[in-house]
Amino acid sequence: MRRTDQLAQLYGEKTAERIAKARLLVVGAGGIGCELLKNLCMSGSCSKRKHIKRPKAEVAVQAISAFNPGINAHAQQANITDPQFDFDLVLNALDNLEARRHVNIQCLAAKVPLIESGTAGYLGHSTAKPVEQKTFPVCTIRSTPSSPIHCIVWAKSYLFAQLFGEQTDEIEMDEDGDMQELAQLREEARALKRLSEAVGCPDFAWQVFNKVFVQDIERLLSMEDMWKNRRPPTVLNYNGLAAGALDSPDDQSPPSATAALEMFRSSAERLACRATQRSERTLLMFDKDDRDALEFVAAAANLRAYAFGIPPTSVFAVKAMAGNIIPAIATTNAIVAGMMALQAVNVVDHRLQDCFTVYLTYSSSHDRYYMKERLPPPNPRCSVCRRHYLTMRLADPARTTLADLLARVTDGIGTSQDMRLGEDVSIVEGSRILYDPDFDDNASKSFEELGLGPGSMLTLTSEDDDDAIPVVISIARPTYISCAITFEGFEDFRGFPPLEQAAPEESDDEEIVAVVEADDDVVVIEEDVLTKPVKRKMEDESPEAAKRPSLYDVREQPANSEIIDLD
Amino acid sequence: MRATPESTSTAATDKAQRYDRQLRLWQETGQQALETARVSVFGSSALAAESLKNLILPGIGEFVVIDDATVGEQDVLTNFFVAPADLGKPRAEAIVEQLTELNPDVRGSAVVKSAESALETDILESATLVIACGLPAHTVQRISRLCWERNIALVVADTAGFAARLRTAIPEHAVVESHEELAPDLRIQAPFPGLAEHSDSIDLDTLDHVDLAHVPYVVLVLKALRSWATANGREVRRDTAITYAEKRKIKEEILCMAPNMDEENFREAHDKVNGDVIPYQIPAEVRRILSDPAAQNITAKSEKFWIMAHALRAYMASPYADGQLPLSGTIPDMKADTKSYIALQRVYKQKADADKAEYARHVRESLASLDLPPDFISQGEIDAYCKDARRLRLLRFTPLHDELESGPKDASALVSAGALDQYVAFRASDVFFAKHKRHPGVADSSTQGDGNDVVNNDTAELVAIANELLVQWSIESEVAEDVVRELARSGHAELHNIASLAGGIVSQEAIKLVTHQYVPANNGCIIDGASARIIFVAV
Repeated sequence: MRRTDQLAQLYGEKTAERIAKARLLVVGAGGIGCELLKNLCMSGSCSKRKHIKRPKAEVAVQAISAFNPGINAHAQQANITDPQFDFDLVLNALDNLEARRHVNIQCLAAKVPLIESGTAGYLGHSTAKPVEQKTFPVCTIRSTPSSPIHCIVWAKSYLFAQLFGEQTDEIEMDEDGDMQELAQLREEARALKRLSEAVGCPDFAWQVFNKVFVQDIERLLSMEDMWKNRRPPTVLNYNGLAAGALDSPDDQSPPSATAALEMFRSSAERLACRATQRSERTLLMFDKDDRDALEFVAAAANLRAYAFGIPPTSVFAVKAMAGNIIPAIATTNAIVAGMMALQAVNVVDHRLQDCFTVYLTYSSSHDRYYMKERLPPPNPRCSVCRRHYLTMRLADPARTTLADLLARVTDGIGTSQDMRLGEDVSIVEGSRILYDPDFDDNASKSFEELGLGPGSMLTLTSEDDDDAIPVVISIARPTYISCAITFEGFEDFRGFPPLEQAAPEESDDEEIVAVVEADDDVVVIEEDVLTKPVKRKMEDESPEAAKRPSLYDVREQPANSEIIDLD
Repeated sequence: MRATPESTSTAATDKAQRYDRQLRLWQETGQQALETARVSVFGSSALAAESLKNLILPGIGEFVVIDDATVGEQDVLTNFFVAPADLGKPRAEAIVEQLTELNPDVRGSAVVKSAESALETDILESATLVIACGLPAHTVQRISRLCWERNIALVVADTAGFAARLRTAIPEHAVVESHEELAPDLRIQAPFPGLAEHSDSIDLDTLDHVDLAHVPYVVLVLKALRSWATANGREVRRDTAITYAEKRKIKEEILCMAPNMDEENFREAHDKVNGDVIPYQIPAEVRRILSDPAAQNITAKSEKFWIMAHALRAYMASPYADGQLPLSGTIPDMKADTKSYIALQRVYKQKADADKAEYARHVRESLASLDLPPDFISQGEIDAYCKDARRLRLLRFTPLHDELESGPKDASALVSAGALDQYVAFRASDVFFAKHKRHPGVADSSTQGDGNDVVNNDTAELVAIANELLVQWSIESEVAEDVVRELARSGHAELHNIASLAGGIVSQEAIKLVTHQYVPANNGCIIDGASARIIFVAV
């Protein structure tokens, strides 16, 4: 018996065929991702079963780099909006919000349905509710910590980032406070950055210690006003601490100051060694599963805690706080992945009306462990959906400039009045400002010079018309068409039919494509008879939410701790 | 830029690293329970294999798979843990071989015997938990009786196409760490002496503006409550009911105390009055446990849970307790500076420690009365019992063998949960199998006509059986034919995805039972994959 015979019996022949033909993308190869790949393959949607029997890391890397380089910083060559991929459905099995946002935007841009998922301990759901990351005032982190988390954020987002990272990563801090104090803090950060040049020196750890636990604290103590109502910190004594009795702490109990110092010294040395082992300086990013990085952050955070009279924290707890760890168990992953695969069948079978948001809940006081609800209609105020998503191809990225693009978009793209942005337009790529009316240095630069290639996403916003809908352009691979700039995927996103009307019975996946020639550009209007986008962001998101750290986001690592290690 | 992942992790942290994400859920104690557990699994289908996978990954101690089936073509298609090379081999051995590769810490073995013949041996002797997948009803009944007698947790499950059912049974299951979310036990309405003294020691009038903004809200509410009671000549005891209108007055009191409206701690105090100024109550679940005969009359054979419940009764009867359970001692985050927060925390901690010491004395007395050594119950167990005294849970299940004999104990629950049709269809299928020795919808030498005829004939027979069962159970309704037809159409064939989903739930419940943390579902579950429904229901 062939697999399809059996599946045809249970699913019905038509559905089984659609499943077999479906091109699905699973993003993320952690607990849910591996479980999901298995379920999908065993449901007949992937003919090469051997893929999943290979070692997990290999499969995961392959799956991610072959399918969605957008998640992997190394292989970032294209994004899923590129028609070469042509996925019918994307399934998210991610563990962080930024990557989820990124895939969401990519799916909206590519007009591909997305199934979202997440678990936390015994809880799970198949649509993610983004949780706001907690931020702290910068002065609390840098000058007046009062709880362990303040010390951990300081060690991770400030100290580690300045010494070993690429740039200051202070996303967890609000810049809100005394201007003079802020200026001082910036100077302090620059001094630390300079100190990171000493990374290869034998006494590097001592130098850093001396800077942050002696000099910086002395500076803080000199600001007497600050300590009128607070307990002042104490300057740490390197030799005094080093002379203490060294116990060998386990991860579960808080280290003594002496143990923290030893951990600080040894982890700093290992990190320095890694940073300098190649001729060019290797920049490191904090990763909770990177033992050296974790130990460094835990040690520095605890030394700071001792300096400020704050209770110390175990390495185990630091890991949870620094890594935003959410408990995960195989059983919940299995249930959620099972639900996702069921939903996936509904999507490829064009039965969007049978898709639901499902939740696994836990409460010991009542028996409702499971809930489902209908997908809500698109939110008309959603700032992520309320954009025009276009794919752009360039004939010659080395010659076409940003000014060429501006010239194309000022009067509106194609025939739609909605896509008129007006004279003053700003262009950003993630958080990088490429152009605005007061900053035109880049106008004459080519896309190549600006480092914009396949996978880059540009957001164009009108500066003088707040009502104009921003246009998000994702750059696909160059074309061989002789015109300079080609736009594809031209469609007004606001005119979505309600979900109930979504599934015409006989579609056969054919797309009606109309080609309209205008001037020297070709505008290809794809009118997909299937209404594909299923998942919309439910909440209003600020424009910042659209920033795109994820293309370079290395947090989604294929290697994860609770992965099915098959083969 | 990306850091090259170099591994520097040592062997010591290796295990903690591997189990990191789950340890954060059930801690060292849960992991310990899991690693010392032994699971016996009857059946080696996809459902059995998927259930086991989710127990092996988190590191269950040992498992044994009991089945005499051999690997067929169907298995290669639905069961992820058999390979084409396994065709014709004993299926139990095939899945054990692949499953053990998932986790080197887990020991697994196969017993190539039918369930019935294995039950003639001492197969259940050392089992912590039994899982039975896809067995005929009479075998399930037999296993259920044996497990019930031995107080072994049992999870029974089977799937048919898009549908699956689950049933959990154990005479008694006690949970100390139920992780129930309760409001913090702050004792604001009737502060213990240490708390009252602490509150009195803070004189708001002498504090400057900055310090005033750092007084924890608990102290502010305590003061407001006291001044309201004094002004109105009220005596507030722990069981005094304070009306909503009165709470409004207390809130006004707080606003009067505030130097201005912007102070977050005063705002917090204002907002917490409704929830935190409440009469002290022992949760109904805990009252039931304390008045249970098992807590009143203990013997040397009593479970530790009951010996500790007995001690808790004695504690509660003592004047020391004043009708209140041992204090857990944890307080929530609140707006305060570190110093005043820690001072408050210390007050609660001291009382909790004193309660714990007093309770431990009663535990030792209970143990002594049974001639058991004082360390029979460890300090850690006493700590946990005190910390979670308000969250204690006791589950008593109904025996599955009785249900299979005479029908569901509470059929109305099935009706209101919308699970009756699925449930009765599965039960009718049990009867059908007992009669014909084949699953409905499966053609063999005894059936006539083509596959459609078999489905039609079997559907008709299943409908008749189902309706007869409903009459027996005194339910005035007829089974939905489409549900029965779907079951017959499936021929009890396994779909991998449904097996995986159901296996997720089987293992989820199994882990709750093994770790004695969180509260397992009592007692049934119907999965209807066609409409994405998972229905937990007490049968």
